[in-house]
Amino acid sequence: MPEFDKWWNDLKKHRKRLRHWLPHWKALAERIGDGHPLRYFTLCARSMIDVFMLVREGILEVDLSNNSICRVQFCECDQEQFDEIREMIAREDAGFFGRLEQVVLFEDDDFSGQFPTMESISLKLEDEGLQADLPKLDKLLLKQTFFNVKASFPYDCVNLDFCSYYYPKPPGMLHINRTVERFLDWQRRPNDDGTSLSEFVLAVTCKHDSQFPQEAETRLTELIRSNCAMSPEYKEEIEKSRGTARIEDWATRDREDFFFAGWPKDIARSAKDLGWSMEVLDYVYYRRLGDANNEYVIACLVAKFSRANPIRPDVQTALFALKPENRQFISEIDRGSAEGQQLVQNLETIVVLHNEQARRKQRPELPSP
Amino acid sequence: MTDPWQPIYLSAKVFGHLAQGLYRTPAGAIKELVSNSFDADATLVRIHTGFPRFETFSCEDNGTGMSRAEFERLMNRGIGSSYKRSSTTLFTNGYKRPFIGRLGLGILSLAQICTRFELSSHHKDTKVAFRATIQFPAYTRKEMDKINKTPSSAANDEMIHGGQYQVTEERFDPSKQGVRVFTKYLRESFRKRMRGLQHLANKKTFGLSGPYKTFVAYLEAIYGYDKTIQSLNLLSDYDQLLFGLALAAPLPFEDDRNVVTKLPMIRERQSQLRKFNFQVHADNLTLANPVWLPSDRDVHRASQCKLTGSEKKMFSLVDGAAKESCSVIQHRVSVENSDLQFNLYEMRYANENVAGSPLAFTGYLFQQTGRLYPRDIQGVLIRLSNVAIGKYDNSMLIYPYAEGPRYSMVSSELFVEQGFEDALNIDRDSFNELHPHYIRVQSYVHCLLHDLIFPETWSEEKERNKARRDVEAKQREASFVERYRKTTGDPVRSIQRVERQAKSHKVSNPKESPVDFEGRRGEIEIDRGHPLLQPLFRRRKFAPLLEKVVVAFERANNEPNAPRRRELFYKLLGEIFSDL
Repeated sequence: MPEFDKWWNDLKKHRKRLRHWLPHWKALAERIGDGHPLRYFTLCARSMIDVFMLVREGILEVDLSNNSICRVQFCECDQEQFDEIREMIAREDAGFFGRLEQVVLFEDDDFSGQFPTMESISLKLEDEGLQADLPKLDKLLLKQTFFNVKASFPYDCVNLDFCSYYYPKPPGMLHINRTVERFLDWQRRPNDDGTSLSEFVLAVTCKHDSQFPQEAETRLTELIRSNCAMSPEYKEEIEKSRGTARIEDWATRDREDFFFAGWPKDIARSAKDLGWSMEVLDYVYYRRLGDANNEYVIACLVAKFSRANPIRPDVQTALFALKPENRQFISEIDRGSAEGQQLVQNLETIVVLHNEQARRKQRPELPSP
Repeated sequence: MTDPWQPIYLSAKVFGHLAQGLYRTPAGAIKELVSNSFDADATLVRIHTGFPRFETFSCEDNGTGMSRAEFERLMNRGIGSSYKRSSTTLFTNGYKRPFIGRLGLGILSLAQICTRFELSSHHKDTKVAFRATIQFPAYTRKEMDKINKTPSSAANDEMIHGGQYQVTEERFDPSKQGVRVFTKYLRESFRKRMRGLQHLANKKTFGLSGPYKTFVAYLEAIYGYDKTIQSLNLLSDYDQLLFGLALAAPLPFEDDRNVVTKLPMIRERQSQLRKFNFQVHADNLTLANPVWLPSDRDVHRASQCKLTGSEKKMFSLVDGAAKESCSVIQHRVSVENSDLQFNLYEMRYANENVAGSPLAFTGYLFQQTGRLYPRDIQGVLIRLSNVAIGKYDNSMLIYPYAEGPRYSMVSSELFVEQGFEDALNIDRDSFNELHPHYIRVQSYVHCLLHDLIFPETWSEEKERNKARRDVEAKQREASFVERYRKTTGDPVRSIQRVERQAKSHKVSNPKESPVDFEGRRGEIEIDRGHPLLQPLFRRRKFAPLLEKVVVAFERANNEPNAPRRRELFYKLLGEIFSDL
């Protein structure tokens, strides 16, 4: 049996999809209206539950002449999964091959900087001598993908399910944060008809555990300290709810809470700098046990970004994240419970759609959830 | 005593050159991967060309896979000597498919489109999986040739690398059984051709080049029901690649798209190909043999056609001193609700001794009454082990006589059943035209066309054209009579031609009108023997037009009043020309 992603049928994860993603995407699709089908960017895994959930809900359109799923794009660095997902979507232009952060955060070096356009890259790639210089060749190929990904923007819904730390171990601690920032930047690109995107929904999923890098905590400390400096209300709230004015104490005492309170501010700040007004729609988390019996938390932030004027201050997002009552915890869900049964049933209907397509494409089917 | 015969050594550099590109087109190169999958008993090959950006390419099958030992043998001077086929194993184990591969060159075909690729294989028999990265030589042919000029050239030449590779073992996964090839290091020339001409295609031709929803939709666009596409050359390289791949692969026709599937021989082949259970998906399209016959503007489906009669016909095959009497079965093809008539010839040839070895083939030849479009299905295509070798040969294997447009009305496929292998060039895309088997096939086709098919076509065409002209002339005349009646008010029903001079042996009076408007039952009689008309009717081509002009003039001339005369003449003239 081929391996699907381990957590595809996890009920907590599916609750997140169904109760905390879907309503916001649906609401956005309704606001956009029938004439403008929703454009969706995802880091979907092989199971593609999020994609088929949107298909099931009629948010992503299916072209029945060839059963292709319209207006969805993904990025995948595993070549086998890349081909499989592309076939399941049934559109050859649906995917970008590569690691998202690597592609999106492409930076020119002295060599690649000499080739500023697709045409100039193409001309250089014709040089057979370049084939022997793999690093340079890779750099130019990556730059091509970078241009292609950039050109595909903007999207109405962006689902960045990283499943790793938002701040990975250095070097590259800020890679994911900068990736999100670049997404916010590229979302300012004009639509195909030349108009600007007025709003979109972004979901970011990441994890936290006891191995969370120390350097990342230092960054969070600085973020929270700057919030305190900017907003007396924020500072008061910390003192009142955490019972201390010393941020370091709080960070040591409750690392998880400290993380939950801190990281959304990074996104809010980028949004503000780029002219987006950020409003958190949902902030959920749930616990998991890893393969080594290690417990970790999955956190997901769903936010709406709009061209509202004036732009909401980023400290409001920080304040929202600070208050524990704004975070929704998804506890264990018993499969036999009413909610468990409901989630399984819903997942089953999505699996049916997935498997119908898998049969058409002669790809592995998902087992019953 | 020393042997007077000295061995001839080949330069290892030959393989270096091969690694730089053996195939003429990308489809020719990718076809080799498909052939490998066919030989590995795969039931499905998935090809992703990377359309529309062409950033990556992959080809994956679910066949038996390649063992690590076989891979390493190929990499170590094994390319050029396939293990797949021997005198005892002519067919695959699973689906009993005839082996296509012969030399083990398939893996080199990728050099045509990329400089480096990854190959992973999960081998069914050994339950071993491995992943290899293969890099083709970075140097160019020019640089390779320079190696000979170095002092220790002979030694260097022996050591020349066809590239390099590294292998790592992987955990065997039965669900991944087969071979998978992936690359992002596509040659820019490939990308450029695929992407660049897309632009040209959009500008200059028919705006094709995908994405296509289904393969049938692609072919419908190619066969141009809205707009006739004369040649695939007018389309983008991507379109040509899809067509070329589908044509080359051992795939059945779509039944209702090709009238030749009505032949028992082809039905048998179709069923054999289906038993092979082999599918090729390219960019999400399920490929099939892309040849649709008839390829007529008004006839799109085989179900519109009917085989109405068959007849055995003989012709002489002359190949140098060798003379044979051969036969074909000619089937008449009629089209429902149409007077179109096509011909379909069923061919079989077998000879145990053609220059010392047996040669056998079957095939069909379809002959349409109009040109076949796109041009790429005109001519002769030879299939070896079900795989197309090259493209349709529009020259009919270099047919030496001028036959005008008749060439373009013929589409034929020959399926080699025995022999011919040695006539195949190393690229598996062309033939050694001096090979006796090639020459025999060539002679067969030429004699068949020259002695049987084209002469019949000439006379049939003549008759058909004459009949068509007569019908058209009658229609035009009826239309003129109708207009004449309306314009003049005369109760005229038809125009009759007489030659009074000939009939009555009397010379017509040049002073009398050559047209009699008072004939029986409303007929206008034109005396074509009239001395004034005789010189005019020497050119038959213009006779129908002249007749009408004469009628118009004479009728107008009967009017006593000059203005009315003029008016009537010009009105009738207008009616004549409005019909042209």
